[in-house]
Amino acid sequence: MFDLPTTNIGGPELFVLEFGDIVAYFSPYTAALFVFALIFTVLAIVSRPERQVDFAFGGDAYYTKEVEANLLRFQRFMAIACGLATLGAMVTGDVFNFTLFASLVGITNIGIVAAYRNRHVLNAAFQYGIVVMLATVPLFGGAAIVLASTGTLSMWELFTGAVAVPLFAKAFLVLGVMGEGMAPFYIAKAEITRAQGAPFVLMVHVSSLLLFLRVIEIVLSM
Amino acid sequence: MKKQTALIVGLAAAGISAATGLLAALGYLPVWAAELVAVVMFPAFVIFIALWWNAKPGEEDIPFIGY
Amino acid sequence: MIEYLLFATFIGLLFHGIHRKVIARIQGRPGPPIWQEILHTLKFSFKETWIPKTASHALFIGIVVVAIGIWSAALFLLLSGGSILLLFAVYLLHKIVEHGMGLSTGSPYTKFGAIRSVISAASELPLLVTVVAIYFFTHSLSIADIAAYQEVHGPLLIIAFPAAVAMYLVILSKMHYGPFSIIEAKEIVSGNMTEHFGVWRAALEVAYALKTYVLLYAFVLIFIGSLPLALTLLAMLIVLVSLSFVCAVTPMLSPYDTVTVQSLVTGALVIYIIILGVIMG
Repeated sequence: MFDLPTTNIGGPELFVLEFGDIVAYFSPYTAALFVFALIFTVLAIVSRPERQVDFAFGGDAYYTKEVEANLLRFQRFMAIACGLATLGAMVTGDVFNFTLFASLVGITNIGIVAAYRNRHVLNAAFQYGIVVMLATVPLFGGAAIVLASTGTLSMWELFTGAVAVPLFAKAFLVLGVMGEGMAPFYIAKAEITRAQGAPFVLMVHVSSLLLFLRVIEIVLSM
Repeated sequence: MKKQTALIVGLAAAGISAATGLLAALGYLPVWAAELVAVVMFPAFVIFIALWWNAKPGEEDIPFIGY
Repeated sequence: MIEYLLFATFIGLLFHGIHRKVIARIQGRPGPPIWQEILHTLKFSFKETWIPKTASHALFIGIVVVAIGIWSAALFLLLSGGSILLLFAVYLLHKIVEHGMGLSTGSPYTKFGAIRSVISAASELPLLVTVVAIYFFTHSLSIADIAAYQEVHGPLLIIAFPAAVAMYLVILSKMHYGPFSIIEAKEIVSGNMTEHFGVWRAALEVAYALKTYVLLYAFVLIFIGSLPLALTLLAMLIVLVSLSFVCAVTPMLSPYDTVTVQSLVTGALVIYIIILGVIMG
């Protein structure tokens, strides 16, 4: 019964886990993305943050910023949460679960830099938060249109040729994920990367790129 | 890490990669598995061989972490 | 398997050398010998190596491993005729590598490089548009199917010329000394590579050589078709020399102009795809 007709896009399925008609699965494509998310989550777990070097203007002086233990713990927690949300978005076979994981990524991305006390970073995080919140409207709207027009959210059903997903819903899904941090909505992210803690801040970038790659696969397959 | 260890790891990475490549060519192993092994082993090979040949012969640690 | 990687690394480094030579000749300089980049990589691998005290150790080393790993994977992907969507994924992941490399050290120069790599994220969109445009014609994203399509219908270079232009721009934006190489501009020392020296830099040169080889090979494979090895290398060399011409005669753009040019190309291609969609249904 379950024979995913996506050999052209993500490749044949390697592993499936069925929950009724909702099927979590790995194709070579999503498995590759999953492994990559896993590598960076592990890096966030095992590595200590870098110590940023700052120049003092008007002289030769430079100083190294210290790493606060509390900040480090919070950032690491948020980075791991972000990694887990990304991993979830890579394996899920359900459009609504995907949108949930995508919005969770948006929340944790702000969390990663929220504890860092720097006006520019917090401003950027605030602006990023506004963009993400706006983006959740098309994101969940896209999933809602998919459900309303086809009666299912299972990618397993949607990827078959028999079900036609409106172009509008696809565009909404892509727009929603782009709002999570792809060009041209990534503007605030450049300032976010001022924050200390490279392995954690990097997760901000990893998660949105992987989400984008996954949504492209979903939209092309539907 | 000592100079000897770097050489052993580098050669082992190359050896494993070459061996799986051979096994795949002979048909004992699927090609994608050999490719996967090569992808994992090649960075280790490059980095450890380079670390080996730039290490000094003495007792210092490589890569040198500073004083 | 490892022999493919060593071959691609060697050819990629040679291509980098030819790239420098061509640029130098166009600018009226004698230029380095074409094997200079191979010597360069060997030189770096013999230099004393350590990890900066301020760096995040695991990320500092891990990112180098990931850089070589993803491009090795991309090479095998091309050789086994896999999906170009995965090639696009590797290209996006390279952005993360550039970004992580810059952030991991704590140095302000590498940080500038990393932030420039974030703002030049628009360079990924032309490749995505290329992927979608190709899908319109071939209805498949597997490289094997694309090659089969081209044997029947002729090269995509002619059929989908705007897509080829977009992919060309993508390769151009990853070439050294090019108009878009703002992340390694000299006003920020070496950009995100500044603190990766010695063995790490040699390993990065290996990764970049693989990257150049893979991108040129992908261009030939996707837009011209699968040719015998010697002809493929020749076609790659021709593409490379044309890229070198562009790099030699254009100054490096400012970061914002980079984004503008790449976004405009993406916009033009989106219009192309919409027109395609209307004509071809």
